[in-house]
Amino acid sequence: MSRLLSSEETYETVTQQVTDITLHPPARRRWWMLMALSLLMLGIFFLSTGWLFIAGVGIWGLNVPVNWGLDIVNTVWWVGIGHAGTMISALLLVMGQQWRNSLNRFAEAMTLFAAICAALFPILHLGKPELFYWMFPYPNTMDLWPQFRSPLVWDVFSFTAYITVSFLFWYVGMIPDLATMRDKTTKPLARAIYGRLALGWRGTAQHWERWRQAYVAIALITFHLVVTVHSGVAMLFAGGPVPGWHTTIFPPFFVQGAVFSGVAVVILLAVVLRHAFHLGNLLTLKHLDILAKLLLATGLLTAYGYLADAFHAWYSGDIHEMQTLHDRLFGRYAWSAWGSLFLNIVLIQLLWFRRIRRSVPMLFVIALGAAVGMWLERYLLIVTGLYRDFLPSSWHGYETTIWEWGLFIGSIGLFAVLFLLFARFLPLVSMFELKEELAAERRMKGDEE
Amino acid sequence: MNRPWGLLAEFDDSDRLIEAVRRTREAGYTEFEAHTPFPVEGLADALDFQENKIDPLHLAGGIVVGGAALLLQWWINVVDYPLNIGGRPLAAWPAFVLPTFEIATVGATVVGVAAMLYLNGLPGRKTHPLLKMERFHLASDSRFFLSIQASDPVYEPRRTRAFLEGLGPVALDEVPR
Amino acid sequence: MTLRMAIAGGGLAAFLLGMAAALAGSAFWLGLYLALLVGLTAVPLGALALLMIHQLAGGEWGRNLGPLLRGATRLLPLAALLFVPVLVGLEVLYPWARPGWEGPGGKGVWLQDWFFIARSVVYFASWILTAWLLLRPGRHPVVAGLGMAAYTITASLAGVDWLMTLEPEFNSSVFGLLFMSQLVLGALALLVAVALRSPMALPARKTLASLLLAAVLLWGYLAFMQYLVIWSVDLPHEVSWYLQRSEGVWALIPWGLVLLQFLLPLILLLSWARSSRRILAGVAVLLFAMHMLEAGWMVLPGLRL
Repeated sequence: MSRLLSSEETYETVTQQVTDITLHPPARRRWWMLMALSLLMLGIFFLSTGWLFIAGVGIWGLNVPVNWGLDIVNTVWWVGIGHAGTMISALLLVMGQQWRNSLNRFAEAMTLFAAICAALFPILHLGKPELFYWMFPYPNTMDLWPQFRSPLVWDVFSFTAYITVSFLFWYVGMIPDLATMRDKTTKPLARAIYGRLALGWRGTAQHWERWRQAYVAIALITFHLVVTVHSGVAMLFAGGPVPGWHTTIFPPFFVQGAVFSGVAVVILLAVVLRHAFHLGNLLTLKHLDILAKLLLATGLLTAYGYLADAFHAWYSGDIHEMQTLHDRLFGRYAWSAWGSLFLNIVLIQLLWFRRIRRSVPMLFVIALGAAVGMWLERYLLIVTGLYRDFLPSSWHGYETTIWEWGLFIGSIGLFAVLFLLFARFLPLVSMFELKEELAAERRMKGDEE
Repeated sequence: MNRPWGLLAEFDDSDRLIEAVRRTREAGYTEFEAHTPFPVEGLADALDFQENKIDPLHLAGGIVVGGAALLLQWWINVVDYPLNIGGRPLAAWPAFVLPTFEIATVGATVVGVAAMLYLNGLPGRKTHPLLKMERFHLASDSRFFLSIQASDPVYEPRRTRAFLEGLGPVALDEVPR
Repeated sequence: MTLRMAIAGGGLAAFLLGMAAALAGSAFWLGLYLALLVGLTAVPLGALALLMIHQLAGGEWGRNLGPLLRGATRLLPLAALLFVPVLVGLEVLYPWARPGWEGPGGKGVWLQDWFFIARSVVYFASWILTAWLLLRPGRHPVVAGLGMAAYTITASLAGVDWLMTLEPEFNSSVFGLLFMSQLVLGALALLVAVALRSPMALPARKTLASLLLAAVLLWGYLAFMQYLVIWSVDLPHEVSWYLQRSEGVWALIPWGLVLLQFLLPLILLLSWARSSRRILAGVAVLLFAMHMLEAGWMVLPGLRL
């Protein structure tokens, strides 16, 4: 295997570089500027939710038959983005792919924050968001229980499980690095906080051995959890007799589309972090190249999903299926179909070329395109599945309102604030895993000589 | 004078630490620890540390919690609150599969993490004697440490110090209590 | 040499039996032939997929399975030849090939004798071409990449054509993906069983066990998702596919698949048992047997005799 890291790296330089980001922040001004922008967007989030609490869901453009709009589009989009973090971190750990070590920490953080954003929308969609806890099975005075034959109830559990497990995976994976932070910081308050978070980690052989067993097991668990979570999301659509929604490929199609959009966002974050914190030596062009290949592969699978979906709609000969297919391509919201086809399928074909995979600006543009394209795809699936009901008398379009966009922009702000806080205060790259990789590379070099 | 907590030897190479650990064990010491900044291959073997409790506990956590979740769904939908939804059977096993699995993953993860922390003695004492050592911060950075506790039956201040010096550490310190 | 002659002799005998069934117009016997053929074709076809995946992703397992994968892929022309009796007997097996059948919309276009035959020829031609390009010495990542892209489409459509259209009313968009997972699982099971006949170090065996585990999980996931989506919506033309396959004695097979092609292998492959060469080989043999049984279950209960 070829080396990913330069031979100039040592254990000390890795520690120094990663802890410095937190302890001696290099781009303080840029960080504050980004934080200000994110806080502004977070303000929009609070404004949009505040008005929603006062006025109710009527402020959105939802109406029969389009009862699910931007809110559910955003849920599916956000939770999908989260999945790539788990895939990159968990699946590649189990498969022993070393290159993940530079990416896994922030990819896991992305997963957690994206899952939090995703979970907000269904709650806000409830109409009485403050009563969301009614969805959990607890003995209550109304003598009511959730009914478990609905995918809507499954999602309560899948989101709860997803947030809990991905938090633990992220945190457990971070404990040894928190100990490094504790040992490196000179400020008493920071030392106390990192010390508490590191739980007294002393890096003994026994610590590591038990830690590894738990970490690998959680990686395996999270991977399977991700697949079931997004399959559960897909069941929201496939599990009802709605033309354009009820199709058996949706569960696997949603899962891999999720990974596609998530890899795109990992690339975006990698490019930004690499630039902002001068991490080019740890997040190398080789890493970006591998990520680009992953984006291409998952993008091709997305194309397969489109083809299978369209083929079987055509093959069925069912008039409603055919009508939905036609509406999607040529109807009122055709822009979402052609936009997602172009961004998710046509544009990524550039990634077959090595020079484009290694060009940071091109890669950034293509990844941004994929993230937007997947949003358009979720819009396409949800809205065009609904706006022409079985009866022409109940056909009705869907117009978004400013409050829906406000909430969407606000959720990006929430994500950005959380991510910036993470980048400022927590170890952004997994130091001990990079050192392990360095040790392995040194050993290999020793064997060669 | 108070008896010290033990002795701490510092090494600059993981292979040397593995060798030191092997010899310490052969010398009959039992209460010693090896500290490394990252998991070092072969160290657990040198310590003869073979424990496989975490995986079974993960599994047990998953099965117990998942089983409870399945039972709860069945009891709610069949016994306590039967409701006809689109003619679906009350005991709709295919529908129970996903929530059961998802709740089981939470059980497995929480139990496994708790087990890992408990067996490791974490969260530990806030001020572990080692954490007060001046150079021990390097144990999470770039150096490899071996600590022998004074409570070890084979421990004898002078002889243990001489023994550790013979292992070729780059530094050797007494750890106060 | 003897293996080659056995395969040639067996192939010839099978071909003649298949032709006899096709010409005699016996739906049961030709259906059985189709089931066995699809089940066995999984070996070269799944091997082709695994070969491409290995060229793209690499991995230590190529060292142990590589020669077997290459050997299995060479059987593709034989598989193509053995499909001739099925194509000759289209009318016997496929209701849409019988006179007087008319399908709505796309089905009327897709399900025509000449088109079906032409597609099968194209599928095999593309697989044989890909295999030929891949089996040349050296690494061919570009062939593997493009080949994999083409393969996902041709193999999915082949599954749809050969198996799904046995009941022209049925339509499931995940069928192609599920079919591919069956191909990979079947090929992997047989080849792992064969590979284990020669001595192999423990880490290599563990890698093979992980591969089998991944294939079992993928199959189990896709099979369950198709079932769950269809079960949830309960449309007559979809559920009838499962209902026909759980009538009478057929009902044993889905349960058998859940237990013996999913749960038992899952438990054995996850536990200490995977370290035992015998148990691993046993799991592989069991998985291949279940794979063949599954092929029979997908074909036979749906036949209109």
